[in-house]
Amino acid sequence: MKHDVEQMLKQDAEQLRTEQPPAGDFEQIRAIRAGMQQPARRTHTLGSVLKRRSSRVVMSTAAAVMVIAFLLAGVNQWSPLFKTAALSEEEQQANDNWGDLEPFRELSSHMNIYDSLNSAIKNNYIQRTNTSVTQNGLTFTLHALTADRQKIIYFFTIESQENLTVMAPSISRFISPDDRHVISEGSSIWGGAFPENPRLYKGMGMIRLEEGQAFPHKMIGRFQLRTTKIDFLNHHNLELKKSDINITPIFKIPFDLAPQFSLQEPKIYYPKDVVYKWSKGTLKVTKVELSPLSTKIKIVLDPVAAKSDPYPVFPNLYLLAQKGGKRTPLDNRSGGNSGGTADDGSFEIEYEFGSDLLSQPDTLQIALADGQKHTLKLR
Amino acid sequence: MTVSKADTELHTLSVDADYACEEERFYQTVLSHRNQLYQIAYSYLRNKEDALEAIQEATFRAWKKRKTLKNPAAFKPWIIRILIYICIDEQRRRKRISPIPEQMPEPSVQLDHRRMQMLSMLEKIKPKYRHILLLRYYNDMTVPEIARILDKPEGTIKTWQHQALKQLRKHMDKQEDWYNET
Repeated sequence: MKHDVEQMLKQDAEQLRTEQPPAGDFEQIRAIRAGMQQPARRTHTLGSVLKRRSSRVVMSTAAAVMVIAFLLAGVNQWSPLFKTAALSEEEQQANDNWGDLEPFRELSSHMNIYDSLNSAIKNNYIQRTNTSVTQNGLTFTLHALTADRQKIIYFFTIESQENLTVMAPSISRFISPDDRHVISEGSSIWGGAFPENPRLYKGMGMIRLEEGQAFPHKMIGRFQLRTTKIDFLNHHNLELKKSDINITPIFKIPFDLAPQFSLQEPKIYYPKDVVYKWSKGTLKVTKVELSPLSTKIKIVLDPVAAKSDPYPVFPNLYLLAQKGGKRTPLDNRSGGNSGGTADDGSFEIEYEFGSDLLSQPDTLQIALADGQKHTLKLR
Repeated sequence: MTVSKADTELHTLSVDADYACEEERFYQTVLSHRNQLYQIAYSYLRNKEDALEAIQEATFRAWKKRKTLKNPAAFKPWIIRILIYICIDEQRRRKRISPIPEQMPEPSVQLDHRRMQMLSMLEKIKPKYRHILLLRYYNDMTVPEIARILDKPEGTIKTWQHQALKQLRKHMDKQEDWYNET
């Protein structure tokens, strides 16, 4: 029987267009902006599905390879835990409200840090700074920040009083006001000005602190900002010339970090019997590290399995923090985790999730997609 | 007035206006093609989040490799080609993941039987032929446009299109269900 394949393709394509979920300008602009900023993110890492995050793991020099654990979309019907943990972002975030920081919520909704920030705000682990500096018709406001021993996350806006389109800062640097040494060279920044109001740039930034680095109680943020008189967000065909971009003198934003941020030591567990049978071998959780703004889980694939498959694609992992009857899914939203071959031939991978440590959970459930789960007692 | 060491370093590091201008022009150019990029990525990946991620990665790779683009007028086919490579990588990765039956995710959109079969058929034909069908029928591109994107002569594209349809028809003929449903 002859098929009119062209006609069938056209019908299928038409159907696809009908069902294709629209991606709004906001989402597309964000994707493109994030692409432009990705080199910094690869170093300082916020992670995302197609971007791979690096982290420190014990690697043999010869056999160090990167692996990625990818998210398998969808909801498994067999495991209530899996089902809960795999709720869509929209479902999970439907009742969240960040109060005065609500405008920033959408910026982080697809990031791993969302759950941590949500927990920080819920537990009042946020320091309102509301520090503003105005110069050259621009106001930079550092609204708030939160931190732990590993990272500092700050919320800021840049607003033009002169009807200029605000562009992403070209430089951010953080120094100590005491000895002027550089605490952090740059930070991951994501955000943007949007077509409905090009004069206002909303952003969030993350500064990674080195392991062993003394916690900085005082800092000066230095930002170089850019504006243009061209409203390119609303008129995409406009040509932007060199002379159209105005680069500002350095904005200096001094701020203190609340003592509470340095007091919370990470809680580290080395479970002995958290083992999963996986199709490719045995997976063992060797370390769980909880900080206010992240949960890191280290898993080892047995040496025999690691040898047979040097590039294993690890299964998805789900995490639920439980306190009383309340369960909080913690997302590994970016899906990118990193690992390498250890000296004994096993393969070690570290997953990074959001955290709800601040709610003082009783237990942490760690589950695989097929429903295997273990409960780690935290108290 | 004293200038601190940090200030000096900061100014040394300052992004010059040329760079800023180039960055903004690049951003605007990508932005002007965003809808088409999204549609192409979606036709390959059939998932909104993945399509947006693919655009993000394509933007990054294009920005990184921008110096290799000799003819600015060829920007659009060039970035589409980058995007397609990313989509292919993602499709290959998906194939490598062979979830055991109980781990098989539910499709986010319930496709009818016929559409599932079409998807399956498209995956069976050679990748170079699949590109033609996806760009021609799912993205309404002309043969000259596809030729520019894939950097091939138009005659080759026409041949590939012919072969693609032939392969697709052959696979369909093997499927009993198609007889029943058409």
